Amino acid sequence: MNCPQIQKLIHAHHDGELDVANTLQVDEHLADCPACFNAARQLSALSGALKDSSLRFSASSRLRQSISAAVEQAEKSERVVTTPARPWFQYSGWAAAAVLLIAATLAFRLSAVHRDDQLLADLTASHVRALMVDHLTDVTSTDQHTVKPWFDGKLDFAPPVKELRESGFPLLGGRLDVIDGHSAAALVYGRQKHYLNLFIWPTPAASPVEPHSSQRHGYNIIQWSDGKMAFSVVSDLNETELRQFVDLWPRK
Amino acid sequence: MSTSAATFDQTILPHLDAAYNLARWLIGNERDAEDITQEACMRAFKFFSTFRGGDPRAWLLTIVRRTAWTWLRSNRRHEEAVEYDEEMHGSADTAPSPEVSLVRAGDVDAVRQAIATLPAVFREVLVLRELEDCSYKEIADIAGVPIGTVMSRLTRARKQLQTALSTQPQSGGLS
Repeated sequence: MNCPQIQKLIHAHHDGELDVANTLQVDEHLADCPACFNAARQLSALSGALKDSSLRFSASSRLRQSISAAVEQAEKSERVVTTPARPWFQYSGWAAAAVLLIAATLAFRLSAVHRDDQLLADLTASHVRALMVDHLTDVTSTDQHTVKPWFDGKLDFAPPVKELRESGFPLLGGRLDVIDGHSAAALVYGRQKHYLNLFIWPTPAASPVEPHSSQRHGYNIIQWSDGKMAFSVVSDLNETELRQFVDLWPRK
Repeated sequence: MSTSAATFDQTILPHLDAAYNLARWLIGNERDAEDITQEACMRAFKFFSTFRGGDPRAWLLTIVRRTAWTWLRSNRRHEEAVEYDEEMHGSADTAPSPEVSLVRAGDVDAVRQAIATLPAVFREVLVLRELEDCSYKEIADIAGVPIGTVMSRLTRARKQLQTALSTQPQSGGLS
């Protein structure tokens, strides 16, 4: 090997990434060639200087605590409350059965309400978080033929992606998100200065669900389903315009 | 604390320093680097169920890197945000490196400044290799590039760093 070849290899040699045969060749060359030996020595000096521990930044305890707290909070809000029926009424068969039935119905309703509530909170939180940390999109493109393939292999379903610029809602991009414990596609649309986050995920419910609106912390949310996918759009846009956006999506 | 938050704390959070260090070097300032680190950790937590063992540090660093690059791009740092194009910039040159004075190499502030002037793709490999002690394979996985690219970037990064260290005005009293 000549000097240029050796000098290419001295980095991998220095980093211990060369195989035995090449290591031996480099070692032999360095023993005979002052120029390459000098280059290797320079490299060691530089690497040594970079090993100074004060060059490595450490996370502050404030950041550490903040993350720990946020993780715990996220964990809490993801958990779905399942009210266990407690066996404190074991005196009579019928009465117990009746009480159980009532309790079960109540628990089911409560947990259904809680789930809906939780979903809305989740959707709003995702929307706000994406805006706050300036992380709206993982793939930035106004082209549906760029955004749609981007999701391939990242999700186990293919979300419908539509460019709606002509209707006044230009597509800005997409990203991966997690809603209600499931992976979801988030499509980002614009409307003047407003952002719309459209979350899409497969739904187990087979029949389509008509759009219904809700509000959370000043954000409008409209949810619907086409029988295969659940859709939820979140925005600070007014409800009328948000409805216009929803009407652009087919609902079988 | 529930199990999954506790497992996350035990598995991922020990690598918070590595995560913050990478974010800090890529982003360049404390406040944004903390935001990026926090966001990356929250994403890691969300996707924690998809973490199938393996090296938790590399897994976290991959997420941090992606989050940081998204930030760099959306903040329109053109010179930073353009992912380094090997074709365009040609292969690693083999010109002899300039002599680094050992005194300057020992001057931590000078070294710190010199790293900060490198393009982000170079800072990234340098930080992962020299400060985090990652192998070429780990860096390749984290940055999503082939090992050959890691090698050529590292060579160029070190060369540029040597150049920066040999041309910077002396901060001491010898000038």
